[in-house]
Amino acid sequence: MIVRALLTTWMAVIIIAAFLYAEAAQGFPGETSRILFFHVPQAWIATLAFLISMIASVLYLAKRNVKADYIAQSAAELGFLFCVLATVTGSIFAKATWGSFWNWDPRQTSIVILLMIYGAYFALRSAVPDTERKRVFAAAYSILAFAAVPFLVFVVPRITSSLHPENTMNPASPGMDPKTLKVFLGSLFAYTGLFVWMLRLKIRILTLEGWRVRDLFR
Amino acid sequence: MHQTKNGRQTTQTRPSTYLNEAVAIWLRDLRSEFRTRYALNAILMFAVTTLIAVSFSIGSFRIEEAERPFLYAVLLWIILTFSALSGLARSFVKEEEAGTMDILKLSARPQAVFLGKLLFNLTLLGAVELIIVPSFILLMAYQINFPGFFIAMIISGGIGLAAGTTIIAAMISRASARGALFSALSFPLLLPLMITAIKGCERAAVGIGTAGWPEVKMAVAYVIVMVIMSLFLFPLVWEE
Amino acid sequence: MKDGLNFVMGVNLVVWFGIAFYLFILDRKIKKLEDSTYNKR
Repeated sequence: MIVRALLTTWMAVIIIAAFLYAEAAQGFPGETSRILFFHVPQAWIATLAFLISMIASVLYLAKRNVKADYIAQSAAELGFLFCVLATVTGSIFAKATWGSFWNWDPRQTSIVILLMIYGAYFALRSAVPDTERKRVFAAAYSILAFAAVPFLVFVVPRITSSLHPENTMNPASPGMDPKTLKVFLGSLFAYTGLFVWMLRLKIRILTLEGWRVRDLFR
Repeated sequence: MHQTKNGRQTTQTRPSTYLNEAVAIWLRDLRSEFRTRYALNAILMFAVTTLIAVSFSIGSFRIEEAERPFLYAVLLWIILTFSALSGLARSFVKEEEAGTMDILKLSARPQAVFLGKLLFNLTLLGAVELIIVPSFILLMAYQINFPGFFIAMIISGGIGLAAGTTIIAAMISRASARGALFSALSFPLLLPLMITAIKGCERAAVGIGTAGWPEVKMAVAYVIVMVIMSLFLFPLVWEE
Repeated sequence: MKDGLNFVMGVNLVVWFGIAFYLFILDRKIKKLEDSTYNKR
């Protein structure tokens, strides 16, 4: 309870700091660089969630522990949520900075592919009626998708750079400005905490549902 | 074949290897496919229709010379990828529909089943590429300055298409909305391959910077990774 | 410009507290359910 209250306060502090304490970065129009305090952590959490889902999938296939599948599913759902958030905030930033909401630069392409993989994962889960098979197939797909992702990391930058020479400023390394760095790291910490909080809630809900189903059949 | 042992007749049997079982499944699928040509027709119909539509609407004179290497590569791989998505699920769906799944599970080891089905999909895709790629080149007047690289890209890309989709075909064989699900699941997996193949064909058409055959190597790496992962995961998917 | 910033910050804070509040409520509901099912077992 205390941790959650602290997290709530911390995120509020970060929001305030992002607008009042940190300075808008040079080279970005107006105050637009501030969105990166929110957009970048969202994207990182989305990929972290994907990774957690994949690891949980491996654990499930190895041990057939149902809780591992709960983790895989919950992480995937949250990853999808943060992925959507990252895409939206990214598009807003793109519109403000480069004039168009979407131009398929490497980062935008990667986030769309991540969205597609999550979407396919959920489609698979809902299309297989038998529970055990659903878990196995979903886990297998999660692992296959993860195997395909490194290729994207190497391939996408090479093809899009040949199309669009004027490529994006890479916002992954937020300026030398120490204030900006502090707020950014603080935001990353806050978002990670939020993710863990939501993940645990989801897992508890799935566990409860599992108990209810099991009690029905007692 | 018939030996006698202590007066009784025994049939000498050789233990079957993965390859034997896989080839047996492959040949049996080929034979049944040859009789009905169901999957081949489905894929070819899609590919030919798309090709004609593309050629008719875009034609060889509507696109600038400079843009052609890339755009033609894109169109070609769209045709090939979506043809694959329309037909490669057949290898498992037909087992499900014919009711022969259980016998297949009993008659061969899972990895052998996967390899056999992979070989079948490779054959299908190979036949489709053999027909569609030359037709495309002719219809669109695709100028290719480095044909060796191009052919290698087509071949390795085609193998990649089969490698990335065969295990997915097994997963969706009993699901609802199979066609759509197969496409939705396969597309993210195939995307890196598609991008590589497009880039490779563009490079082959232009003819510059082909030393080292980078995209072909990338496609081969993709095939190896996908096949190994599928060999690991297929038994789990199959045993259910 | 600064006024606009204060507004955006305000909106963000309101949204965040709304989310945190929702999560707290959810937490309580789940805890209640967990306790009741524990008793039934």
